[in-house]
Amino acid sequence: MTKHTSNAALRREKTHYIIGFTGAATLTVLAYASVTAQWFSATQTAAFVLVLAVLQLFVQSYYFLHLGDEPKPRWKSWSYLYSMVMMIIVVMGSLWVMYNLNYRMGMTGPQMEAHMLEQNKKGF
Amino acid sequence: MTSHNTHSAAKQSNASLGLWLYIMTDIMVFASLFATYVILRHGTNGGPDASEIFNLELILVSTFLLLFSSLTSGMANIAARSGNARGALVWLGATITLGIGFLTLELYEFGELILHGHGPAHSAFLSAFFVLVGTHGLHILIGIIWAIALGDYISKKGLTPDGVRRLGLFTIFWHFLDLVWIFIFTVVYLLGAIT
Amino acid sequence: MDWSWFIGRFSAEYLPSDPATIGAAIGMPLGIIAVLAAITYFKKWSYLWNEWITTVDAKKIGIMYMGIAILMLLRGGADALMLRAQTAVAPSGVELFDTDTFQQVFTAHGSIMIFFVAMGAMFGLINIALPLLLGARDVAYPFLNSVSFWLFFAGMVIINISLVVGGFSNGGWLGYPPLTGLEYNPGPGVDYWIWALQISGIGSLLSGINFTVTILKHRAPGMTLMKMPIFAWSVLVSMVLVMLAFPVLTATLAMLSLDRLADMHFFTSDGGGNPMLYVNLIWAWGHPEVYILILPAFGIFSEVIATFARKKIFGYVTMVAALLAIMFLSFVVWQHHFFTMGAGANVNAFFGIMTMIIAIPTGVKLFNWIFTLYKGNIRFTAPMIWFMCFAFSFTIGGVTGVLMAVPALDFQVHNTMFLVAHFHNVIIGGVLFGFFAGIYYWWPKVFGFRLHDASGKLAAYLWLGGFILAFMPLYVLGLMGAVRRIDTYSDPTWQPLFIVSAIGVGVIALGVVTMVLGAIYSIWKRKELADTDGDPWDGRTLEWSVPSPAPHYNFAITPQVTRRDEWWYQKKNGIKPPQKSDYVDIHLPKNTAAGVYIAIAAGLAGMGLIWHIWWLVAVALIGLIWIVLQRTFNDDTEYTLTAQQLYELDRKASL
Repeated sequence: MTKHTSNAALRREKTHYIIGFTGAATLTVLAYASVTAQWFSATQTAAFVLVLAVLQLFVQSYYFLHLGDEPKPRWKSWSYLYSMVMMIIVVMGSLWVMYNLNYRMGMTGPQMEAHMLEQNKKGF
Repeated sequence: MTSHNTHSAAKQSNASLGLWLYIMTDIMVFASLFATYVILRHGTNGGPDASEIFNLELILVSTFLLLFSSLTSGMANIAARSGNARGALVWLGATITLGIGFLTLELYEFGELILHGHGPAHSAFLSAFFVLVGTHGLHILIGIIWAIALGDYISKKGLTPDGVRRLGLFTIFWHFLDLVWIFIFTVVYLLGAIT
Repeated sequence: MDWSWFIGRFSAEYLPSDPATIGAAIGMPLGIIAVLAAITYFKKWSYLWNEWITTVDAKKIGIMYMGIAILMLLRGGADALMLRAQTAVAPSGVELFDTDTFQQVFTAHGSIMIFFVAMGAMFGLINIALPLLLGARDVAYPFLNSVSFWLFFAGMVIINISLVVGGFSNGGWLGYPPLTGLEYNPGPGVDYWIWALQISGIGSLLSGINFTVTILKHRAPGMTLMKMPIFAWSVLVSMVLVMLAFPVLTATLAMLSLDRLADMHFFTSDGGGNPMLYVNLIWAWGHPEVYILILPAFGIFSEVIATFARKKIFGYVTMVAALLAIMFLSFVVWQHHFFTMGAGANVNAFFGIMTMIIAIPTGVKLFNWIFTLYKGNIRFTAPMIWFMCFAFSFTIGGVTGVLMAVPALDFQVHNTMFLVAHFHNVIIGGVLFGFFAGIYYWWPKVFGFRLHDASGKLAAYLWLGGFILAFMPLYVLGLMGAVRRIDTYSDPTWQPLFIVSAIGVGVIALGVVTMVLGAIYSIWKRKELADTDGDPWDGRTLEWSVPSPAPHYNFAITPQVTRRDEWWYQKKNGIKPPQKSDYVDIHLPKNTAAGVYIAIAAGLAGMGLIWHIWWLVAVALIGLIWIVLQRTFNDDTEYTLTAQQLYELDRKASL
């Protein structure tokens, strides 16, 4: 199968690597600088670096992991997508459940009473 | 003969899907560890929190070591597929060196923390930090051992179809570790540094 | 002299002290020695080594899985008998076991039944049937398959060693901290539980990858996904769940273990840790696990019903859609296992509603089976009887599950016997009955003779009757307030119900005995029960197109598939006998002992971690890496069967 990879394809892959590397490096430096130089407020910075991380996920998945270059049936792309969805469900679901639990279990007696009264006002 | 060629091509595509699915399972391991870290990061037990103990400059250096090694591993793969055994070995050597550099910095960081009394047994936050970052480091270590064994194989037997196939698999694994690190870099270090 | 560097924390106090465990501790090694002596006496070591231990043939690996699963069913069943015997006599002032032993017994019962019986039987049946159903020669990675099995075996050995030295965990089958933390459980029991599950769990994870690639890449030419048998679909979905869920278990157990070994603070109640996080994570694995077990059972029933009703499965597309819906929904319901832990109404309502929704695709499947039977030409063989028992029992279990999906009701019955009855209802009446149906159905394909049918039917009725006696009283007891895992109680009105339940377990045991005796009888009468043409049930799918017992290469000529139930239509349209020119050279994997060595190294590392023998851990891990590298870089793993050899073998097998 060594012979099947044409030179043009290899050259294209090499270009991909250079683009991917440049993109990843730029995004990394941007994220780092935004935190150390404090361009924005804390919340904005947090959102900014998370967005950059997701961008970098796309850049590296496309240029390094060659996602999308796969011939049909695209099992790798599908499994990647589904794993990402499941990862988000498990992480976000756990955070939701745990924050809710921590919030409620961390309450003192009087706090809980006030909380319940507040809930009752909503009518359920 | 044709039957043998299709057999070997099928093996290639099999192995690459298998490794890919293994990486998917690894994503779920890291998902659990990330969720744990985010949930436990305020459990500092009176000890330091994330903004007090990390050396961001050091982390930027190791991030770039890993990013460079991702590039060199890709180059090794390309060299191997164009039949350039020497090139493949040189790029693989560069990948190994950069990986060892990354691991050394990580061990230095861990050592510093432990020396200052901030070991993993101190608080839930530190446990979660050490295990999340350490699990990634363990993967890097496995990758380095794999790369050394690959280099040994290629230097002895040359670029056999099996050798090229294995190098391709290693490259995918290594790219994945770089990708996980981006999220550790962002979630643990950058978000940790924002107060 | 201090030997603790060598033997870790082992000391004489960990040797068994009460009569029950001493009996087991003496009996088990003696039994093993007797078996080993018998093997030596009959000079079967090289046969065993060459034909079984080093095999990479999926069917043989499947048989070994089944053997271990059945052995463990006896062990776990004995545990169940002990538990119900204790609760039957407890108020009369008789204490068969002390509380700690009782706790160890229910922990062992749960862990063994799920991880070594249900998982083992599932992987066993998949190994036996899946490649044949797909028209494939083997699984995608035959060697990895052997590794998976031997890791499963190593986990099984570890869980049973705890019976002899050190005792087992008393923390329940899911081992909630802080009870399983260092503070309340410093001994080796919990570590036995962790490492038995961890090692066999990693084996399961590897199997998940293996079978997924097998289904995606190794189907016979022409078999598109929508032409696969439903069993293959159900295995695909189940294995996707394995790949997504088991890593969460691996990570969670690793963290619990680090809490214990390195004094970390993930799930401790001090140091900033959070035991509730463990409960959250373990159920993020645990709920999908329930579907991992039940889906292959559903797949087996789909094949059994289509075959014995002599009709194609009703609603193939909706079956697949239901499976895919479950693949997604099973990951968004986990919090229903801890409604009472204190989450707010929003969280509980969301997960409650999701739980009710997941009942819909499950119901769709049940209706599809019923419609398949409608106007079918049904033969009531043993596998069909298992289905009838399943349909009855599983529906009750499913309905009580939907009841408990209502958080307000769950608050009443959470952690009571009602819950115990519910999940036994779905796991015995669903998973186990499905696997038993699979055993009776595919037995002739692997062994070349059928199982005695009447004994199989009798066993099914005994299991169902025993099940009703054992668990219907538990529903009532649960509503009366009986908490699960109690070894004694003060309300004498509970006792009659507990006695009925104990009798029920006895009836189930009779069912097991009937199955074993039936199997022995079938082996004795194997000439009369022989399956001569490889198609004893007039089957529909490709496994029935090869001779029984299936040859190690499965298919001499790769089958071409044009539609669902290919074999059924081939038989209708007339089968053309193969020409000699149809045979081509095939490549088969060589047997290897590397899988066994890897499992030995993993098992030793586990024992080292349990007993804090650090040198053993280091040696075992280095050995493990070494074996893996040796194997990974070995290019000589296959041999070729030439067309001529294959032709001759096939002619001999078909005679």
